[in-house]
Amino acid sequence: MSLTSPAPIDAANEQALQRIYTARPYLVAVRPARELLPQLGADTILHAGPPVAWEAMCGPMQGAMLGAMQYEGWAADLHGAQALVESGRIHWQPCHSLSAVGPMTGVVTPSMPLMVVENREHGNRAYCTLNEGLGKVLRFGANDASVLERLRWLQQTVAPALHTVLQRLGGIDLRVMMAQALSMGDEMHQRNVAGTALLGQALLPHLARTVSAPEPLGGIAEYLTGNTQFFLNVAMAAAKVTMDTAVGLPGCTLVTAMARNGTEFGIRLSALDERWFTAPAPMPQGLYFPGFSAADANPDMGDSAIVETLGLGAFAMSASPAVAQFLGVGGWAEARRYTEEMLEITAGRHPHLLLPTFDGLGVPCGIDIRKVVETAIVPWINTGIAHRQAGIGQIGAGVVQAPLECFVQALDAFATVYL
Amino acid sequence: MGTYIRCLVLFSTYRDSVWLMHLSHTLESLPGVQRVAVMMGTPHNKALLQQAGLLTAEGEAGGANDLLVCVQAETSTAAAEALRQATVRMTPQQGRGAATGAAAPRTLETGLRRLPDANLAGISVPGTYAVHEARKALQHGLHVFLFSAHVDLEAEASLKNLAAQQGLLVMGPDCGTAILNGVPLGFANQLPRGPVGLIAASGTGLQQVSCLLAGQGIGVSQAIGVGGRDVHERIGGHSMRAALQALARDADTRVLVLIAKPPAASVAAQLAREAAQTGKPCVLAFVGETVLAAVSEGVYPAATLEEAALLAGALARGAPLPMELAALPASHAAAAQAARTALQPRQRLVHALYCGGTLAHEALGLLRRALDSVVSNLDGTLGVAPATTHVVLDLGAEEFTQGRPHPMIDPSARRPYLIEAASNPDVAVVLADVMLGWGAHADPAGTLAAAWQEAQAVARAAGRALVGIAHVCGAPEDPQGFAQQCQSLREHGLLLADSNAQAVRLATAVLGVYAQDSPAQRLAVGNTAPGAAVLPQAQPLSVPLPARLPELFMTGPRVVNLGLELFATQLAAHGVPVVHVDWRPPAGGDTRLASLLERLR
Amino acid sequence: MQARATSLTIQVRRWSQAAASLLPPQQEVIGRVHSCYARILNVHTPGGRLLTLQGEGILQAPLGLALTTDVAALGTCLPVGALVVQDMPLAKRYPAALRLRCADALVWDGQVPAQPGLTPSVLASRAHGLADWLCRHAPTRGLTPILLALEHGYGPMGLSAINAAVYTALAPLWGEPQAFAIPTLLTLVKALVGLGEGLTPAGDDFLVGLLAVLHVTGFLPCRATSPVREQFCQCVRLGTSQLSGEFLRCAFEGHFAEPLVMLVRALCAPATDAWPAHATTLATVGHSSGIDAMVGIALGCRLLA
Repeated sequence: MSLTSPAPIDAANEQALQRIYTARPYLVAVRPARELLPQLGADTILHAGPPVAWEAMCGPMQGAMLGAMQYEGWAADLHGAQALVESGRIHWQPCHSLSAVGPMTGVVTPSMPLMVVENREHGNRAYCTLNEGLGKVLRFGANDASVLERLRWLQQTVAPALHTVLQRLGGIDLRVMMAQALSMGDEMHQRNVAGTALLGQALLPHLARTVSAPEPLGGIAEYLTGNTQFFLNVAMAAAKVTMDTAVGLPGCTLVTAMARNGTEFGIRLSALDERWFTAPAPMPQGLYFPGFSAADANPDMGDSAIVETLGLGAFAMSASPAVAQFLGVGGWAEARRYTEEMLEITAGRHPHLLLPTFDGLGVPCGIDIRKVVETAIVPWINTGIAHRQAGIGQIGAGVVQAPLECFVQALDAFATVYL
Repeated sequence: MGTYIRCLVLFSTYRDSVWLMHLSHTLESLPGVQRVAVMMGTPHNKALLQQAGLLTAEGEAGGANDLLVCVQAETSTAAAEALRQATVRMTPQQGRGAATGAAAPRTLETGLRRLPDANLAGISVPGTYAVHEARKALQHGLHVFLFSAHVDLEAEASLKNLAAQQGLLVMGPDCGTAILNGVPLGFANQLPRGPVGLIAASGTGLQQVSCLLAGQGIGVSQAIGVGGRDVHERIGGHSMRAALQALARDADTRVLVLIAKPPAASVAAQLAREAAQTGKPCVLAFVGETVLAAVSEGVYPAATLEEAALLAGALARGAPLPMELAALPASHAAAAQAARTALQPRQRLVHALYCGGTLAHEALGLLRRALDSVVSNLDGTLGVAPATTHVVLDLGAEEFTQGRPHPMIDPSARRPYLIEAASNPDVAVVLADVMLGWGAHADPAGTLAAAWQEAQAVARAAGRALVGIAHVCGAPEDPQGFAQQCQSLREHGLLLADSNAQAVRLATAVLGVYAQDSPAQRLAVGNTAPGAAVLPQAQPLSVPLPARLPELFMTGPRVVNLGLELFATQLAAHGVPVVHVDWRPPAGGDTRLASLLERLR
Repeated sequence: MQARATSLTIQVRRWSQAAASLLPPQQEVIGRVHSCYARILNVHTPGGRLLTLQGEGILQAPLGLALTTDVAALGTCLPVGALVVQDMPLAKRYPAALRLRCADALVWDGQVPAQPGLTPSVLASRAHGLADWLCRHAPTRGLTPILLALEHGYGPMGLSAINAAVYTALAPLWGEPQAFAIPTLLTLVKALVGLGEGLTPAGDDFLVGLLAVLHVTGFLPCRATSPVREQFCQCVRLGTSQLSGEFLRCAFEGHFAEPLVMLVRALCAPATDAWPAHATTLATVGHSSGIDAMVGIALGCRLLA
């Protein structure tokens, strides 16, 4: 094998991988953002993806912002919200900057409940919103009364109930749950059926014992079990808390985050901390629901690419042939190819998140920017496709490739510091 | 419409009877095919086939464990197509996961994951990247077969040093031929196994000597290519000397042959010294070396490839060494005379058009000893007006192969030069080599014959005759069909020589000019003591044996192939474990990024 | 072609006694992969024998090993030359591509020991019965056409080249009835070995069938002296492929493939109704190998009657 001892970069990467492998994420609480994130300013809204100015925000993102302001009570209606924006008194920053992640527009305001995932191995925490469900929702930029009402219901009814249950349980081991879901055909990005069911299984007995009346119990139960993407947000937070352990390791060339805001696609590199390397967000390719087409699609959006950063989603496609068909990728053989291709650009394989339908070994883990630039193979991401007009919602699902440019920028920046 | 009989011998090939029947029926249904017989080459079966008129010389070469596919067709093309189809079906469908949907790996590392016990990396990617891939391969413990050219001397030296530290061998750069454990790598012929070990800094040189040996019925234990510049002073014959150590200890090798264009004097001396220390007789074929230094006992210099093959053959048989070689067999001499009479007085020139580099080099040297003013692209003497001089062209040289395949793969490159020679009223003789073997064109004789017909027509139209001399560098068992290829050339009116050196002698005979030592040619080895070979005393060897080379000889190559896919296909067809890597230039060809990546390893 | 990353370890479900005797428990190396086609994988032992690995089911070769897995898939990951060893601790040091676990394999006896009660008239009637069956069920396949030609003295006209050659070799034996002797056998072997199409040429299959009859009647092995064995083996070695030669060599020693053994045992048993079913099975072996072997059996019975 190698003549000399591992180069410093390889050693740093190995160290990062060890942290990722040993992280143990637990779902422990649901609390309002202002309680969890003291650095969150009173006039700040978080969003998915790298930093973006209002003018550059895509339709759904702006729509979500306007809705969020109303939800928070900073404006009475759309006009008021618009005026607030123009006044310049509202600020926005990425969820990632405060250890949070949000799907699609990923908008987070101080009153919003966030799920808390704690890494019991290293002690860090990460946060994610509660998935609103399907249809007209804030994460796709809808902002009418029904949306706000639902958000309030989540805040006032669902969040406290969940929190109580989680306290009783003392937390839910998410690594075990994700491994189980993987073996049941989920890849934890576009397919979360099994994970949602497993979570429901864990929560419902305790919910039944802590929520006294048939309503709201029925409503909460329906919410938890009726939305097959519920587990997505949980998986995102688990992935975030895991990848955060690898942030800031000197000489490490692994990617710690991939995220999009509907305008730009950004990645973060371990050795370079919180710096974003961005490029225009690509358009997803996939299957559209009846009545919609590529002309209606919004560029790629959301923090959900954090699951691919860990090695799930498209990286684990071989575990989920069903998602391959759903995304229009093909069948089992094609699904397998995605995982195989991602093995070319990753430094390791996660020892606990195993691919039963591949070779029984773990998901490709630890995207090395050197390998990405060398082979010109970029990460694939499974994604939902949003309508580019605010508020219409999901119009399809497919795959998207991270722009090579981000990795080239990161490599150049790394070289500037280290060479 | 005549009948064309072709036979294909598939060595040590076993298929169940149902499959064989199926093949038989499939071939029979091809257009133009009249009769098909598919059977094992047992004595009784061959007798049957003989009686039925279906057995050719190629088919005769098959044995009881070999599968014969005999075809009778209306046209030569139909017959060839039928055999091609048979070959295609024979190649085992070992997918690179085609059946399972796996994509080809993109890098050496992922290739190694699929074939962890690989022991050789075959590298034919562009030179700039080849060094890096070769280094990676060595660090992973693989020997390297480096087909790529355009690798600078320093890089080559550093690779070979790294190889030495790792106990590995670098075959190359610019190495196109090797035969390891009977497996042909790159452009190599289908040779019998036998006691002669060849080490060559020249691909076509290796091919010529090994084919001439095969023609004598003498086989090869290992044939190791070391790259054209291995014998340069800077490299010092590194790989050649390492291979020499290995073959010195290889039980299957009894005779050694070293082939190269003349090395630097110090390197030549060291090689001669180390050859003498092996304890086995060694032929030094430094092609074109006219001044031969005194050598020790047991080391035999040869000035031409033909001589090398003769000496090695005699040594292998334990026969007395030939001291002289008749310039031309009587029949050839007669043919030369007859051809000569058809020429016009002003036709005095020879144009030699070669696919094989070393063969061109040898021809140039030999022609210059007999003729004045021979120019060539080999040494920059090819001036602006070659019309009135003898010309030797190496059509495989870089200037001729920009953006087009090498003439060994596509011999049609020769055609325009043939026509040009035919149009030149001063040209009397055209010399050409026909290279057979794996990797080479499927019917190079046919291509030459067709072009030759055109050339002759041009000359005839101008009221001239033109003499064409060719030699087929091939082994009896080569896939193209050695006998067939020779026959094809003869049928089209080309004079056929048995070797490159003889072809040159034939050309000079046609021109009425003879080399110094006519009529008999004194061999370089005549400088040493006459009689049977004397074996040198074995002594401790100075260069370390590459520790992992004997294993490669014993178990054969298991290959990770980067670059030309045809090499991988060829290996797979020989039943060699191989994984083909779908290699792309790093960073998509962006050199700035590539060099950045290099520094970040 | 790719070799698998890890060495495969497979259990041998069942093997012939002849194969088992070639692989004592302490022998580490079994051999190297010699060839692979259809659902068969042949392994060449260091002693020069050819073992045949197959999937579960009836043993198709006298030196047959039935594995617990389908061999077709196995063949795609075992290149020719790959090393095969027994699965035992000492053999761990070999870089083997395939390890076979032979410990609990069931042994099947593939011999056809001499049967009492095979009088000339019994043999003649069996010969007739089998020849009849062949002419009715496979009249144009393999060597069957020569049965009729020999019976009625039609001569080799109208027969294919191969059949004509076989006919020519057998016709003299029809001329005058004489006791079958070793020289006759050796002459037949010389005339027929390696003759015909297919992986096992028709001549070889015929000889295997004939040899089965020689064993079941007790003609062999008592007459198989060393010189005779040596002559036979040399003839086979020079005249046919390694693979077919192995079948012949085993046949000479009295070991046969399962379908053939079942037919011969049934044919020579007192009850006469069981053998047609076995004939049907044997007829499906190879393209015409089974048929040709049965022609050999039929004519062998007649010759010894």
